[in-house]
Amino acid sequence: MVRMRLARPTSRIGTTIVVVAIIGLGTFLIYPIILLLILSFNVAQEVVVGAPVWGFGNWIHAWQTSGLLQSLGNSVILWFFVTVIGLPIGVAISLLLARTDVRHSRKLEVGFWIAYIFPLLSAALGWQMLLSPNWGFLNKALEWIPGVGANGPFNVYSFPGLVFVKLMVGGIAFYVILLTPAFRNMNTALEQAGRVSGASSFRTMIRVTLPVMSAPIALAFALHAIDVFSGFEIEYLIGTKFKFYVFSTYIYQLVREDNPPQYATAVVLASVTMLVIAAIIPFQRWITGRRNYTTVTDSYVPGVFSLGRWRRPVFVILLVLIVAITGLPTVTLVVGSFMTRVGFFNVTQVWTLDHWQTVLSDPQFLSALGTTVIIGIAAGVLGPIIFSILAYIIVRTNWRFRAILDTIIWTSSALPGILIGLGLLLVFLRTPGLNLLFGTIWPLIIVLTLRGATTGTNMFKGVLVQLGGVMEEAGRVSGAGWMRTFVRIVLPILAPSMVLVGMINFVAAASATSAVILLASYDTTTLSILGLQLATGGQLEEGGIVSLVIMALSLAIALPARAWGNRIGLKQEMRMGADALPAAEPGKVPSTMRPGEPVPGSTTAVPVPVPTQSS
Amino acid sequence: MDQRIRTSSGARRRIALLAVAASAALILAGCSTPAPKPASYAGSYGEWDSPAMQKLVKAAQKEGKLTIVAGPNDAQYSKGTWDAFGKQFGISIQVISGTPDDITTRMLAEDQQGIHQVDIGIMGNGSTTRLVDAGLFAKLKPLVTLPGALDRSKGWYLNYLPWAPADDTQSECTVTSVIPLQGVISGYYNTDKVTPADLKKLTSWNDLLTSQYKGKIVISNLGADVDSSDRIQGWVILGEDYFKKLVKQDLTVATDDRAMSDGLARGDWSIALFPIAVDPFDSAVAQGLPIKAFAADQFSELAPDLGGRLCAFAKPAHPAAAQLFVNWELSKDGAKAFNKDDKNPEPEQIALRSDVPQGTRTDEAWAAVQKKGFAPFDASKHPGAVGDSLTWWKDELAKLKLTP
Repeated sequence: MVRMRLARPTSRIGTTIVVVAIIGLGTFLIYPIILLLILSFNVAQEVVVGAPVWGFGNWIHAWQTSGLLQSLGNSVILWFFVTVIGLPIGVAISLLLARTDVRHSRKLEVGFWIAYIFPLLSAALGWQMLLSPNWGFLNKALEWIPGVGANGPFNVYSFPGLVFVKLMVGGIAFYVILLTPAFRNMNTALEQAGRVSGASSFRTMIRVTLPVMSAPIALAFALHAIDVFSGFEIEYLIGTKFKFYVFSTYIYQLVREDNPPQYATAVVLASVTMLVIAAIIPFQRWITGRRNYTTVTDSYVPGVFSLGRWRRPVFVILLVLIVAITGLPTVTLVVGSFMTRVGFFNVTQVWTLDHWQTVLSDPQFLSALGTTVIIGIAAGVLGPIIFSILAYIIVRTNWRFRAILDTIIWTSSALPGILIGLGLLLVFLRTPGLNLLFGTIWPLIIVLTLRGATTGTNMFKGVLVQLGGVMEEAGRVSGAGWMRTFVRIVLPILAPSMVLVGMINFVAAASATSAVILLASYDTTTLSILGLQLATGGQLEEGGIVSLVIMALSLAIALPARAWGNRIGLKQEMRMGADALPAAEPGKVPSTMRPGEPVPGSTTAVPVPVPTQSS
Repeated sequence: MDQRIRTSSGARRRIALLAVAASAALILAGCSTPAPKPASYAGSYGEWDSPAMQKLVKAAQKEGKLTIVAGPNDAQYSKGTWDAFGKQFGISIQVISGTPDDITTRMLAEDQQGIHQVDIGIMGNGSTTRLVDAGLFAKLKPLVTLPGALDRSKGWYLNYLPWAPADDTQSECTVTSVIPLQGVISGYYNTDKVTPADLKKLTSWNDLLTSQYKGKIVISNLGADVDSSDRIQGWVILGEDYFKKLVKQDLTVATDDRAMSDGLARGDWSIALFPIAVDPFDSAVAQGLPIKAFAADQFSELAPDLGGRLCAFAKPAHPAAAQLFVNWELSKDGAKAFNKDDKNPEPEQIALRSDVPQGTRTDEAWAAVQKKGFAPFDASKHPGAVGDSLTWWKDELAKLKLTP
């Protein structure tokens, strides 16, 4: 079949739009990094006040700190093990949830969402309470087993313990929430063709499914890779207990525990992430550009494989995993909020409502709640709109300079929040016009909306790569301009993805601290900043309650939005003829989709009724 | 396969409604809480009756707000006292707190750009030093117009105006309280691990250097310049040699006071030294956990300490309120409110004024401070010890890989 190629939108207006986007994004995503890089050449003791003293001292001395190379190595080793274990598990779970008839797959997926939303510190505390060698609940419970010993079998303060907690706290969930929608979009026709050709399920998965899905997997891998040197909370809480220091611990030490903070040196060290990004960008382009990953076209055949007798055991295994990664820390956090001292059952009064009363009667709590809702909704609504347009420009247009846009979006993740907060403060203080916004809620809204650009835009890029261009081409053939095509065709198709990205942005905005702590005034303190203040002041229980409220708020927004996202945009009524079902070896290439059955709501895309043009 | 697809107009309406709601929420974002109604400010001692003071009070009430930037511990512990000020004068108190380095950096950067949003700074050692060095604080004496606040010849436990050790200028940040029953180093022990028999053997700080306590001691991160009193006192009174021996005891450095107190209560360690904030420990004691503070006379060396830092910004957002607050902190009303504050988790800390009631302060501490010849350790008299001890601990802990 001959594929009709339409000229991609390219125009002077397009170039103008890209330039405006580069300036807009550049101001809030790259300019802070540039300011910080300039600041790294300031060798004065205090870099934010007084006359700068220029020199290369920070760049020379930063790498001479003792133990630095070992911490770099520790970061890489830790990331390697978490990825080597987490990625296959994440891919396998995504496959099971999206492409098999495992029971309650949507509900199970929600469990991974909760795991993703869960505050890192609280979850890490929960695992500490379970697996600490001499007092962890699980270890205590297993002490009665002969040969186990007094300290129990588990030790969270060890390298395997650290890797385990990293996997449980966000590690696996990150891959699952990113990859499950992508697997749902995959056209089973390709797999069925493999099966028709006599390949086994396993061979089909290896030779067909995974190669076809390599783009979203690579994207998830790349998004995880930029965190190689920035993972901090769990490493700090657990790693430092057995003297396992990672790169981010060094940066934390320089910024938080040196006086005055060594921002300049920290920027030098943190810029090593730019090397990772420099490797990621071409890798990601190579992966997405070397073949056609279109899996959703007009001839899209959705469907799921039957697990047969494995259906129930797989469900039980996934349920146990979800209970482990979400249930245990959730119970810990909720129960802990009612304990006089979290984790201690040997106090004179174990249970209390005092912590809740303290939090709920604090006038700043209500103010912070309001601010968080406003910022979260703004980030959740505006973010997806901006990111989808950016992704569309990068993937679907020939506009000039769009590669720069892509580079800006990746580079924005170069520095950790602990440093970028200073860069943003300088941007808002020193830029005429923007300085008028300082002290208001607007800097927080702008920053937290755009902070999700790397994840959000790349998720949309993944979806657009998966989507065939035929529907837009049909729109263009019908005389619509690119904007009309985008609004009338692309946006409705992307709507469920927009809800997904909106949720991620909402959650990220609601729980952000370091990036905005320097921008928030008393009136614009967010819940996450309030929680941080309470926790650093030793009020762990009150801090935990604020975390719970953030989580509840995120779930209250995210879950209905997710359900809504599965319904909005385009509604489909699919009548599938028997001829659309796989014909070869009936019963061996099963599909649970029966003729006339509605297609389950896809999280990222839906089939469209345009003439077949796929190659 | 036949597919029919239609766009949901209802869904579009919902999206539009959501966008409108979000926009409306954003427009409402600038709202803030109104200041409380002015209250009677007479106080207990008639300190505010003079025309000059009344003028200052009225100007402060007109401003209506006072913004305090404070470290997390101060923000938590001093709130009750600050609220008493707000209540007395009808002034709304706003507290900006957070990670000390962050808020200090923000103050510095704001000042650099001519933005002045805060009035009073009550920060830890490192932050105070940074702000003093950058010249953000005002000279204190010109602000103090209340009779009897500067003249310390009577009505005070110290006969001179003491300065915070972090204030290199010795003219901008004063201290406002005293901790009479303080050992050279603050410390707590686990009562299950350190028995009464063990306690009997502990009479000098050198007794902690035995093999019995090797690997059993946790300390706060003394390489981070958060609070310095124990570190400086130890450096001056016990000497560098003592610290050299102490670090050979296979110490653990805790991430924070709460982690340190929880670990001590669980028996991870036997002894905790150099806590920055005592509340996590004292609350554990009150909750019945097996923790106790070393008694003031446990070790032969004692060092009553000064506390309660007070600095005013040179360019305050609310100048009159800032000046009034400085005067109030040094007034009888302020000292009385401090002693009375039952929300302050350190009841052994007493206001420096001797002409106010005991309030909720402990009898032991009250008795100690009344003793003739009471003389607290004044770290500002040992300026070299501040920096030397910090550098030593920082290098030593890094060398031992106890910190990154």
